[in-house]
Amino acid sequence: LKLSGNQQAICTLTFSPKADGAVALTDQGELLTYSIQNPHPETTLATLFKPVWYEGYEGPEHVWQSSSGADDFEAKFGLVPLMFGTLKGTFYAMLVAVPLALLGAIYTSMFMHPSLRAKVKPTIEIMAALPTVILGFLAGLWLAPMLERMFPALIAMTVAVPVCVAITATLWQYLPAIFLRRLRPGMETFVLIPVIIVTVWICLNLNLQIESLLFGSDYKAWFAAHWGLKYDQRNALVVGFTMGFAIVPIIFSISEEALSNVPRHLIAGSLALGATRWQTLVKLVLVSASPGIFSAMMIGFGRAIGETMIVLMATGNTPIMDWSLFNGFRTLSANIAVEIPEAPHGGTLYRILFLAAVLLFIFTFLINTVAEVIRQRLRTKYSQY
Amino acid sequence: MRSSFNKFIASGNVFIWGCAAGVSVSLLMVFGLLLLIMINGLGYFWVSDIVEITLKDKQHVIGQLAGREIIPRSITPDRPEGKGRLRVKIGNRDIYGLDFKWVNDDQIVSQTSPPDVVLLERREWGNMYARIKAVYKGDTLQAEGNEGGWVALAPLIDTANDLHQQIDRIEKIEIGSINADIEKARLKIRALGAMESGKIEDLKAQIVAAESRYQEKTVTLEALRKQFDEYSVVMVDGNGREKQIPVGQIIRALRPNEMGLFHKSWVYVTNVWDVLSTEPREANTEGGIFPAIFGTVMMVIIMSLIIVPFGVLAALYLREYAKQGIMVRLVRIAVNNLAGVPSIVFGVFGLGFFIYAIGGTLDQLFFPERLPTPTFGTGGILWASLTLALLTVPVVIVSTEEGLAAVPREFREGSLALGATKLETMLKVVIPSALPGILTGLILAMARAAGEVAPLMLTGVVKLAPALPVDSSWPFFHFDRKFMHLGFHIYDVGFQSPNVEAAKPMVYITTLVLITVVVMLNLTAIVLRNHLRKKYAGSVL
Repeated sequence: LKLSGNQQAICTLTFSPKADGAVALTDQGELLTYSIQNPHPETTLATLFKPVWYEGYEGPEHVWQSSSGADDFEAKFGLVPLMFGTLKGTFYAMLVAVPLALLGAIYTSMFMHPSLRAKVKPTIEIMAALPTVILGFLAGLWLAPMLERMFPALIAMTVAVPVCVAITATLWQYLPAIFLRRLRPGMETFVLIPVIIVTVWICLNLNLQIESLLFGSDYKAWFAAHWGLKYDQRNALVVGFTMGFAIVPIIFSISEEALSNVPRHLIAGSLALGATRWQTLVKLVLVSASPGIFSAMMIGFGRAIGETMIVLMATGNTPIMDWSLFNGFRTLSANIAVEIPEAPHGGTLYRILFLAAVLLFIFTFLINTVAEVIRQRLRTKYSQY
Repeated sequence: MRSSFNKFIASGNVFIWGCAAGVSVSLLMVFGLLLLIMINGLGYFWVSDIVEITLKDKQHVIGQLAGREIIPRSITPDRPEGKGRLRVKIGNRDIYGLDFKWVNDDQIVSQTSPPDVVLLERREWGNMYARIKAVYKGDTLQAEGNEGGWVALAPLIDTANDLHQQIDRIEKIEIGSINADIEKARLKIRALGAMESGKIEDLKAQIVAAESRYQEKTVTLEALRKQFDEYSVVMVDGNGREKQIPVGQIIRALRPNEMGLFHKSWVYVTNVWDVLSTEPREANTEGGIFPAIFGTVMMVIIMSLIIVPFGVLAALYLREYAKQGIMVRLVRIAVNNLAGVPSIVFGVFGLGFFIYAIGGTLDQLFFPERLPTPTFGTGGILWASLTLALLTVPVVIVSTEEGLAAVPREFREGSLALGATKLETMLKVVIPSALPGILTGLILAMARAAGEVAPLMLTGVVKLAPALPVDSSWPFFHFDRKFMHLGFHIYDVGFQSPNVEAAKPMVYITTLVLITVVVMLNLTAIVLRNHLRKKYAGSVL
């Protein structure tokens, strides 16, 4: 900024509070006023992405607080808490979705009878078509209160369901061979459905007993006392489940395609050499389909990052930075949805929200492009066989 | 034994079962979700019996049972089963302030379902569960007692509903059109300025005439309103508290405990129809969802009109005309990418580009007299449809390309060999054969658009639209109007209403409608796609 002093030397200069003007006193006693075009005086890249020491705070911090009831309020635009929230939500969603989708894809593509597969695959893919506002509503109004009551049962389930599956698998091999031979490949799924339902039902019914067994009387008090965690009803756990649910079909569908496209004669060769089904799968199929699986995960990741309605409805939308499973967060996308309808056109907040949208766009664009290129390469590679 | 176990582990069968569990859990989640929504949504229409519970402190609770649970932290070593409590919908929000009440099991003395309890569905304050004490006309007693009142009330409610319809018609349509006339004349005066005083006088006379017509209508309205509020009924709740309600406030009176299965089923059907065909009441938590259905359908139709030509032309060019090179590959990647961009980003783009840039310019060019009130410079159904069109056009392109790729080469070659030009081949042979592919794309795009909410929140959806985007006043289609949408309705009613607990049934119903539409569309698309695959599967020789 250069202020010319009307060919006189300036001896004193002050800026107006909003930095859009200045008053100067020259050495010849003349008073000069300047108006400076500076629509966004307090926002630079550094204030957006680095910690800022705001008035009344103990030190530099990342804060997002765009508005309040009072007029003398200082808007705090730090995008880092929102980016943190985005990554937190995505991380928990991937934690739920990836194992489920990959296991499902492996099973459907490798071990299921084709006619069964033709029914199961579209069923799971219909999940992708479910409007996310529905998932968000169920997460916020049904799942969140239920998880709050049934959290001990959930912990029990994560242990009990795999154990029951393993027990079923072990017992199954003792069934008479004549009976087993009649079944089509793929029946494991339908055997397991009642097993899982019963296990879950038992866990839910024993919820209170499990709670008193594991946590004394109250799991919230236990977590607060032992780990210093506070349980909010709408938290990362709820989002993890729901958003995981939303991206399962995408990851499932793409990795299933990658797995089924592994050339059949390679598999036949491996089996002919005496490898078991499992060895063939781990040593051959997964290895050759891994780029496809990777790209499926990338696409699922991209979808979770931009997801709006679920996080809007199922988190408390609190822009805090904390990895805890039990509290909420605010993502870039939900933040846009919440604040842009009230942001004055052309103002600082409006432009920062646009920047947030641009960030989201660039990020998903990069991820999707990489995933797409990997997929196309894989396709040309397989078409050589 | 041990070696057979090792062999079992080595064979990996247990891991295969683990994989199978992945499929099972996914399937369970899909069906569980659908079941949950169906049970909650369809259950709402059923009029369940009213119970009267007598408590130990001699209080009576009248209402519909809404669930039972074990009181948290009531399990103690000497009482392992815990204590239970009932959740009762007690209604009567104007008296109690709450819709639901918890009743502990150990407080209950007796629970009956008396046949004479009346359920009043009201225009305000939700349901009322009580007995009738008396029916009044003005201050004069018309009928007394529960039975007498019940007989006297039924015809009164019918008349009141007729009157309500008349009042509604006058307020909405007749006075609405007068207001539109006045507004139009006022805007014309503003546009003309001070120069043409003759025309302005004419317009002012028009306004005066319209205002006098308005006065006439208000007089008729007054008369109707008076008739509407003439009768009233005094209700008495379980504990003897009385409440006087104008009959005009009552939509329907039922005695669920007296009704047989057939009657209840009939009420069920009418309830479903009411929800689908009427407007919302009580901040959207009661009444129907017709405007939301209408807005959703309308938006999807406008969007379809935009995406089909664009999507099909783009796909035709990419697949049939363009030279397959690096450029086309880049375009394909870009199209695929567009489908993966978060929908909120499209919303932000729609807000910045369509609404502020294009809409703002349109306002300055064509509607300067209305400024600073924006016409197109604010969210509206047109901008929402355009934004969703951007979002869904990749679906149509990809699916059409798929359809085009499935048309066998022999078709094209045969057509060309018979002397048709390339354009004729396209129009008469290729496109008709690829039609299932195009339709699949369109249907999938419609399904996606019907469920998308985030971009709409920025581009023109509102919680309560005063008027539909199509009505009887010229030019009939109002593309600048804001509209209601099923998906946004779910968000709004479920998360922004003051009484979420009472609003829940409405949310489930809206969800049920939306999910039915989306799943139906998707199933149609799947069937169509399979049909396409089968049709040409045998023809490659």
